[in-house]
Amino acid sequence: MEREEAKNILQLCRPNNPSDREDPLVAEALACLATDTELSSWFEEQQALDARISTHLESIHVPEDLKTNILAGMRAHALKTKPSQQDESEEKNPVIPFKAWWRNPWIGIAALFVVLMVIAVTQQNTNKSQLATNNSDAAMLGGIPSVVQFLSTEIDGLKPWSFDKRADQASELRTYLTSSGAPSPATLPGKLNHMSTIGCVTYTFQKTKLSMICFKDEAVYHLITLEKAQYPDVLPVEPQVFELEDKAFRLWVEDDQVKILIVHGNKQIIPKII
Amino acid sequence: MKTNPTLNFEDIVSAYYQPLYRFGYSLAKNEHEAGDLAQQTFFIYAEKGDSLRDKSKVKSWLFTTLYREFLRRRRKDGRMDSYEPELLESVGGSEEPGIRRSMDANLAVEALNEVDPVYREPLYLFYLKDLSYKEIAEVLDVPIGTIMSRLSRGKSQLRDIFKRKESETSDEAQN
Repeated sequence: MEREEAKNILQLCRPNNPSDREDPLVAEALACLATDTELSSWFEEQQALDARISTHLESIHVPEDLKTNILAGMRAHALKTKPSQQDESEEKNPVIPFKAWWRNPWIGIAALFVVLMVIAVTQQNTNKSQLATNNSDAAMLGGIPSVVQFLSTEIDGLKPWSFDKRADQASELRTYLTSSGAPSPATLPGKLNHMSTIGCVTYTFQKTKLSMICFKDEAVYHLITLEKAQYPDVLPVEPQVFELEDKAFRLWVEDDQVKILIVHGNKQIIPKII
Repeated sequence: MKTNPTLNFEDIVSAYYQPLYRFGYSLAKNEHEAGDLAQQTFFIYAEKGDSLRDKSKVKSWLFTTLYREFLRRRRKDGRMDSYEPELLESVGGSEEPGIRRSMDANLAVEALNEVDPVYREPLYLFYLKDLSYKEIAEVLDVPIGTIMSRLSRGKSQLRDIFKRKESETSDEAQN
């Protein structure tokens, strides 16, 4: 086994963890230590540092009453559910003579009703999509594309740990998005070119992959990119600007991509950026 | 620790509530959520554990369940009261005062928070020492080879950060 390969495998071996040493792959790498002094001293240093990090993590304080709480919670749950489940099953499911469902006329009526409903809804959707080809707003809820509504909710729920990657350079985030197979903006619009970034997130909406890069200036700007071919709503011919809840949105098509810029505030902020 | 197939529920809680809490804390960075995640994990086990045929897999099943529960909550819940850039700048959520008191734990958690996110979870599980690298791959649902390379790269990053933080801490202590 080569030294570099041994190093890679030895990294899996934790100090004072005998089960790691039982792993055949690790055991083979450990055997190299006997004949390779440089590897041996490297391993000792690694083990010492690993031991320090492990000790630090193991000192995370676990609340004294956690175990008692878990067990008490489980007992309470068991007491609550078991008798009532039995009672309910006895009360709600009295023994009745078996009757095949297909002999029940009400089942047939209900099934017919469901079929009629499906036909009605399908017809309604078909009409809507036909209308949408003529008037893009018609396919959208209240004139706002569904993807915009989705993004508005996601941004409200954005947390520091939501980011797939954090970096202050857009170029780094764009490279990351490309390498992870997510849509990455081919170009950056207007003033975003000069802003630093916070991080990027990817979403899936109606089977469409979306990426979002968050830029930071006086406010936080979110640039969402998705492939034009996958855009789930009716594509706008001209850039569209919306306001939804406390945010302003600009949606436009650029070559093969659809881009959406989102910022907290009103529509008047958008032209200052693009 | 190998799982004894004959363990009863209380034995299982005794054996794993601490490592599960620590894993929960490393993910959530919050005492209350860590406790809640551990409790919820055992609750799910009590409800569905019977369907686990191979009882020797209880340990990795519990870690997997806690991890999935954490991800589910993150996807579902995420409301922020105010959307401030400063909040976005802070990495990894808030730390509880109780944890701050433990400087040793804090140093390691802080160092791990600076590692690229993709390496963070395998590293936590690695250093908590309850799971083998094969089990870590199972819990995180990634191939063993990927876990090996993530651990290798992540450890390399972590060592540099940890050494730097250790020396900063000792400098502060001297001053």
